[in-house]
Amino acid sequence: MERKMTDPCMLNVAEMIRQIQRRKLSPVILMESLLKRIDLLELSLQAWVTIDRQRLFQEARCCQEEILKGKIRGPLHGIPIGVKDIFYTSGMKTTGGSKIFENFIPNYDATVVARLKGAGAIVLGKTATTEFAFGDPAPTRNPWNREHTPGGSSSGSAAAVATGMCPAALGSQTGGSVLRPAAYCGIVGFKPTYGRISRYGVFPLSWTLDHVGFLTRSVEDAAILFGILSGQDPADPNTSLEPVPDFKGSLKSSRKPPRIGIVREFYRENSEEQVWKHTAETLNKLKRAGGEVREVKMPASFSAVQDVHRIIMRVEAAAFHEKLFERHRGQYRPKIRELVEIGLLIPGVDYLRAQKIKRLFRREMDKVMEQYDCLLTPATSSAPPKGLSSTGDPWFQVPWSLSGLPSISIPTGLNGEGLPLGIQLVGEAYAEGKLFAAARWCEKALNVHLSPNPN
Amino acid sequence: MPTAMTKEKYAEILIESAGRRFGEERAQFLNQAIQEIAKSLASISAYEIALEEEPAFFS
Repeated sequence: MERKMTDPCMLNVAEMIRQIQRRKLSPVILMESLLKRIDLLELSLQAWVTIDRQRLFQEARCCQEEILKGKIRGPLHGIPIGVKDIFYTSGMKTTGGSKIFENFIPNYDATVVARLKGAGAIVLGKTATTEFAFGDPAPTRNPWNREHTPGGSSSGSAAAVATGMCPAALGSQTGGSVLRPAAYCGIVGFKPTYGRISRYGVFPLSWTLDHVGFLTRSVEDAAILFGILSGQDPADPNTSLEPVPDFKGSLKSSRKPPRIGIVREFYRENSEEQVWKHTAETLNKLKRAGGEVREVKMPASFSAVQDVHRIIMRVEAAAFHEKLFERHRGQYRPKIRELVEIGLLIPGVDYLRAQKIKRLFRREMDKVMEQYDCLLTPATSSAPPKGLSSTGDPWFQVPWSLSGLPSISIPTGLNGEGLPLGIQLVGEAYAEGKLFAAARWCEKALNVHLSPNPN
Repeated sequence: MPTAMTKEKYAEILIESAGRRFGEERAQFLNQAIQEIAKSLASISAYEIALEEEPAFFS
């Protein structure tokens, strides 16, 4: 059955906000629409781990009653959001995608979950994740073709947002875990500058690389969520004290064509031919629309990025899991088990050398970024690969997870097999507003809106 | 500058350490992953970086 684009479940966050606050859309009707969509698709896509229907209807009714009394809790009043199952949710199971935590119910909310609720959002449910946000796949399937991976680790969040089961969802990225699944599923994926969003109450994978991000169906929605979720958190000492400007307002400057730096080094040789050809065509469209495109000379430290990331992630994952691993070794799936074991072997001196190069890379990239509004690369090396034993190649996101620079992926079209392709834009540290403006400009210039039909 | 460690030397050290920590059978199982990380370790060992450079942690 072809769904109608006017179904409430297919509205973007921005439109849901407008309609709910003008009393044109009831949170109860919205909830019914989303749950109906989930009923239709969940069996075949397996995007969700936990959904508590009774609570959802209670909360939606409560939001509706508040609206009728003129009370709006915040900008997301009555809007259901998906939450990756590595974020603590008070009173709701948080498994981390692991057997070890299959019955774990936290007694507090992650800071970002608390901020969502504070803004009036309803936690729609917990979305499937790879085990501890690493490489052992979730059961989720790609809505464009169920024989293909949706990517990971934010697998359920990507599939759910792409298919209208929720308008937006939380994800996290240590390597490529937000932007890659977003690109594989044909939606927008965003992660901010390291330290912009609190990681308190989130299962860590690698403390100095972990970023909270989100998956949406538009750049505007990403900017809205970022404005709500970013900012200093005393519970996470690594959150930045940088002020939080009006990110949604920054989209107004999206009328001006951005200065785009295309990164060929590493990306050209590691892209499948169809991906690079598609990226070149996308760049030509952006040039024709007025974008100023120049080739970027990457700094010397760029050559060490993949090795540095590999070392840091293994050591930090091992440091977090060490004691848990001693007790539950047999319950770790193969990829995370190997990650922890290798991390336990790496000498401390080598870990610190990797952290030195990480710092150097960030400093050198900060200088590069002064010349551009954003850098552009293909979002992924290929379209979503066939098979469900792997979540695909994270390496196109790794430099930006390592440097901590903000990045966003937007869909740009389909390949010959009808699978999504996208581009990744990278911004200056703490200049997410500028990145959103550039991404919005590209989104408008390309005018690509992908919507799978997995019914 | 001190001499960089080779991939082979790193692999030798890591395999020995894996054997002690996880047993010989598991160490052999991990051999491919050890070779990969040994390559990364050798690569950054050879990377010239200023003596005064400090590690980043939370930049």
